[in-house]
Amino acid sequence: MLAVQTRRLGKTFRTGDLDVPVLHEVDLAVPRGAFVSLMGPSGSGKSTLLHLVGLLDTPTVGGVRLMGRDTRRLDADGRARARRDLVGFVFQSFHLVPSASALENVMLPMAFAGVSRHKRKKRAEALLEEVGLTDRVKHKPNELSGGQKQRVAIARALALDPPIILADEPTGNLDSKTSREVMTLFSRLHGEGRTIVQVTHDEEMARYGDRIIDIRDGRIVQERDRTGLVRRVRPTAEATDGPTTALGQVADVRLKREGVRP
Amino acid sequence: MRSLWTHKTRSLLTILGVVIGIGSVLAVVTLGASFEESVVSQFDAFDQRSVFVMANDGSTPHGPPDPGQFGLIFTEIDRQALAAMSGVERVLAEGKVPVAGLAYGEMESPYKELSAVDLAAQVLAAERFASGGVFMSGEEEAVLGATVAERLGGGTAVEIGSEIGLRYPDGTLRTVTVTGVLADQEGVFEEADGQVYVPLEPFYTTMRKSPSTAEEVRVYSALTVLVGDPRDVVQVRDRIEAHMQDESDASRLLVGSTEILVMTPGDITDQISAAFAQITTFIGAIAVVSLLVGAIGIANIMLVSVAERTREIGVMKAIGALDRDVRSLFLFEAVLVGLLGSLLGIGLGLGGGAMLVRFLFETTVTLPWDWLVVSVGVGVFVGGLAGYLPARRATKIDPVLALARE
Ligand SMILES: Nc1ncnc2c1ncn2[C@@H]1O[C@H](COP(=O)(O)OP(=O)(O)OP(=O)(O)O)[C@@H](O)[C@H]1O
Ligand SMILES: [Mg+2]
Repeated sequence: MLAVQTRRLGKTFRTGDLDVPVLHEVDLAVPRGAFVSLMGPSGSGKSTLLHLVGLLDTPTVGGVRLMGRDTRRLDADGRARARRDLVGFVFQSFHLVPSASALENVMLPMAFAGVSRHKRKKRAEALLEEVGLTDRVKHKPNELSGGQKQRVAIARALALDPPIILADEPTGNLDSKTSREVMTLFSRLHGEGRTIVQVTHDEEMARYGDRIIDIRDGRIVQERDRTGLVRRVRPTAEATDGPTTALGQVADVRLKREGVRP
Repeated sequence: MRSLWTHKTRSLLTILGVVIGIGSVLAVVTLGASFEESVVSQFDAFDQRSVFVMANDGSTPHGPPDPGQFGLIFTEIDRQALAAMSGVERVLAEGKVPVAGLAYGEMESPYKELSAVDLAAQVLAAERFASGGVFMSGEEEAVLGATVAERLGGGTAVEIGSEIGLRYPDGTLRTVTVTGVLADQEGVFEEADGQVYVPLEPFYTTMRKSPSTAEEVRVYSALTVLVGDPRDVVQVRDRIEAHMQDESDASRLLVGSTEILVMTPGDITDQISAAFAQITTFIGAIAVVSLLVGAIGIANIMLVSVAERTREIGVMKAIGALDRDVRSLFLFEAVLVGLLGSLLGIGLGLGGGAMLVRFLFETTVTLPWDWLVVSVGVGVFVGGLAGYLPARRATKIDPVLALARE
């Protein structure tokens, strides 16, 4: 079963009288337990895609399936519930609630899900221990380093034990050492069977994933594995510097790495 | 919740409208309840079988009865007519005896009028005595109010059994024996403190020509009808009322805007309640405006709070908050503000009301419990009302845009 599947996903933003098409016919398929890195130039639509997949935003065309469930017919509440139960978000700027302690931040999603206070506290403590922050439980976000904040955010994303973790440039604000620590944490979660989709600009971080998907101008242009082996190429009118094959056709072609780098 | 504390001054200013609205109503209501309760508790000492017949200056319908000369209209004929009614056990009369002064030992001080009453035991109930007891009808005896007794005695109350002199306007002096001194009275009965009570017999001699019999008969300023069975009080009152208004000497002796009042203790408390209800309605109208202003204030502050926390709301939605979670968060906060306002208002209103009660009536404070509950309810309601729009706005926030904000 696929954890994430999008069908001809398209998103067009409307600013004033101007239509800004951002995503075009994106067919994304993330198997259960996969660790996928989305890469692409700034403005190519990676965040937008992640928001659509996480049901934070609604597509203009096409639809999203999460854990096999079609989400197209869900109302706002249904989408919020699906998001709550299936997805854990991690952001570049952490987005912790500043007035709440690390523990309270991790407890928050469970409060929305109606978990009892006692259980919330116990689970939050266990999660913070899991990310190595046992001694920072009572700290407020502004008393934590960037890496610590991101680990709190990851613990929070795990609070309701969602099968899918969506991370938008989780190491974007971190130095390379801390970035590696966060990626190691992701690898561990991946090893425990969780599905992870991350957006990153950093090739090194991308390669912690078992698959890298390159996006350009709102289209998936290719998928490759860790070694750079191209597994699937999607030529488009705008981005056809790679080998040209029929749409959706699978082609195992070894590319020069420079050629596919954003 | 936390933002309430981080913006203490802001929150405090916001709830001022609610505090003032609820506080002012509660102050008045406390005043009313305390006054009413003090009156009711005084009447408890009276016989609940009483019906009071008195004259009142019509220009002040809610003012205290005026037993002045306009009120000297209840003739002995009226008294006997009421005494003959079925259900009536007895009719007590009272009137004023004009004097020039009171003498005790060497001292003589000016004094205006004595209160002549009959069957003193009924009116001056035993527990109201500080010392001694009632006088006997027909005897040269008197009962002194607390203040008079003290003033005559030069600081300490006149002793029971001592003699005081009554100086009449024509200069004659009449000596009476003090049989009792009343305890200090409170509230509406405070005027008893300054009274000198003597038996109708032999002190009361005021006469008037009866319109019905054309005879010179005694005339009184008030009558108290004792009903045999307490359950008949209202019925008897209605009969007395009908008789007094249409057939009595009093109805023919009425002058000007003076009117005859026939009231049970219950009627009197009802009248006081009605008067306070009027004031409460008036203050209530002001309070509504104040609450409205308060609600707008709360709504405004909540809107600011929603705007300030847009990103936080976006985060909450991203990590699993449903619309109703977001909504209840802000509704809860608004309700809390309203509740806080009402609690402060209750404190202020009760405090202010209690102070006024002490100051104006010198009686004990009675808490208007029902109004406390209403106040808390109003606070919660106003908060909820004010929070509705901001809460709605919070749910409408687009998480993607909110998260993109820096
Ligand atoms: N709410 C919006 N209204 C209008 N245009 C938008 C909106 N959100 C995103 N866009 C546009 O969509 C395009 C893709 O944005 P997106 O944030 O998905 O890019 P990205 O690949 O995540 O870029 P980056 O690497 O810089 O984060 C951009 O051109 C952006 O200006
Ligand atoms: Mg982005």
